[in-house]
Amino acid sequence: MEIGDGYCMIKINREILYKGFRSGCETTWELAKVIIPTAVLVALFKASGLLNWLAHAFGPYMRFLGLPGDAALVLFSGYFVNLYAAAGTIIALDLSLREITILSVMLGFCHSLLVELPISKKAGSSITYILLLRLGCSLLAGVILGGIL
Amino acid sequence: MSILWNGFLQGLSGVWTIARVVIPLMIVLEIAQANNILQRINHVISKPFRWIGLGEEGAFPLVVAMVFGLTFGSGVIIAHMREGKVSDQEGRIIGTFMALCHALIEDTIIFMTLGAPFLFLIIPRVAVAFIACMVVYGVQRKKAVGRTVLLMALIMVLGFGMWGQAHAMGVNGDVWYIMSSADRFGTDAQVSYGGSVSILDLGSLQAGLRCQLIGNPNDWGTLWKLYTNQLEKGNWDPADRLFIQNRSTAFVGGELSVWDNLKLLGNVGYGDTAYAGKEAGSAELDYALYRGMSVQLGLVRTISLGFDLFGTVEYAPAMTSIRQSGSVNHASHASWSALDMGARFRLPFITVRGGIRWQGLEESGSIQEYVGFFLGGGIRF
Repeated sequence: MEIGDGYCMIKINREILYKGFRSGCETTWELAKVIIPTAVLVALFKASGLLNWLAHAFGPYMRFLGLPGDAALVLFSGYFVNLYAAAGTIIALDLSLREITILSVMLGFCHSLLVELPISKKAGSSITYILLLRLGCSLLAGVILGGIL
Repeated sequence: MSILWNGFLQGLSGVWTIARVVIPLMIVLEIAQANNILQRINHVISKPFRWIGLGEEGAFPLVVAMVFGLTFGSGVIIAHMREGKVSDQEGRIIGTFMALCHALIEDTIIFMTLGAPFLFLIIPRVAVAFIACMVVYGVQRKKAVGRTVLLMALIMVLGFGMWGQAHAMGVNGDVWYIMSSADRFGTDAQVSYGGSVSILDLGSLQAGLRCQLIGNPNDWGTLWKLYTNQLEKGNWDPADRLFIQNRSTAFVGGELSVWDNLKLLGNVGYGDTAYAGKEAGSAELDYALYRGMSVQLGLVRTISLGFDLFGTVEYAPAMTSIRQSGSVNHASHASWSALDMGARFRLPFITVRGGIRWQGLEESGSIQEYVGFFLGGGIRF
């Protein structure tokens, strides 16, 4: 199927649709592989009391960002693993909309560091520079949003 | 076991929520990719990237990264660099932008399905990426300018950070009923309006602006003309009387606890004193503008929770003359002093204050003094 005429023509055929559908399913599968184990793990954390301990340990620092202590787990999973893991953690914890908003803006700036820092390096930027830039922007966004929201 | 099962179900429902959006999205992105839509509209999208020193070739990897993700964007930029289409300097800007702002569609959808508002997910990332790249571009273009921009950015960052932390930006205003005045314009009792804005108030550290205006509100235009050097000479109606005085200062200072319920406060300011006046019967306007450093010191004695007595002295010993009319009373330097004594109630968010104020401006052989009661209040947020 082709839509439009001449210059502004868009080609859509079964092959493209199938490829898109398949890459969507692949993404979903990738997502499921991360989110479900994360959610189970966090549930286990919660039940074993480890989460409580973590929340206590990080509570004072997280207060700077206007977040409860257990949100530290979301930040760690987002920073080190990826956004899906962070999403899984958010699903498993009971966070308010305000906290989810702060966390998602923070994680938007800085996530999947273990994967993305080497990619940035390959594209020609220094790892230290990118790390400081992304972490700095993320924490700053947290402090500002934690203050005003 | 039921804990794990619950966790599993929660995760599964989360996957379903995201999958419902991700699959259609991936189909749309695939169509966009197969049709080279980004290449086609690149010359339109790339326009804003000129602000950060990128041409169409440089903007393309960014657009790819913003839509498809960091991996795709990096692929394009690596290819571009190999072909020499992108310089090292451009590469640094692209790297900065790409690190902060990529996969906008996918990342945004993940968090939108969790309930975060759309605009919060898009605007901060794009805006911060642009600002960071402007700083990098500034540093590249000119080192000195770059350093200034960096410093300014740092100050803004600190300021905003602390503001977010301290919840404190205050606005104070007061009205001053002048009981007695002594000046060469024969000003009789008038009302003065004053105010201050504290831009940064951390309790112990403050920075802000103070402003004090004496005179008829109708004459504020004269003051504006004095500042912008637009005062005409000699064509004033001799029957009119006019007086307006302004004292504005930008200050930085703090409070120090010296005793249980006694606090010392001090700040250093830089600002000016300006006045314009005319006696009845004269056709010439008499005006001057002085500018210089000032110091304010004070004591605050807490009587009970939220109720304080205070006294402050402000002194600007040698302000230099910026602009003046040809009156004999004017000098190249003038000194300013002010004394406030009163009480204040500090409630949550609001402050009410009142007391006595004296202030004087001394030029060579001429002094303008005003004494009166003031009453005012402020909010802090």
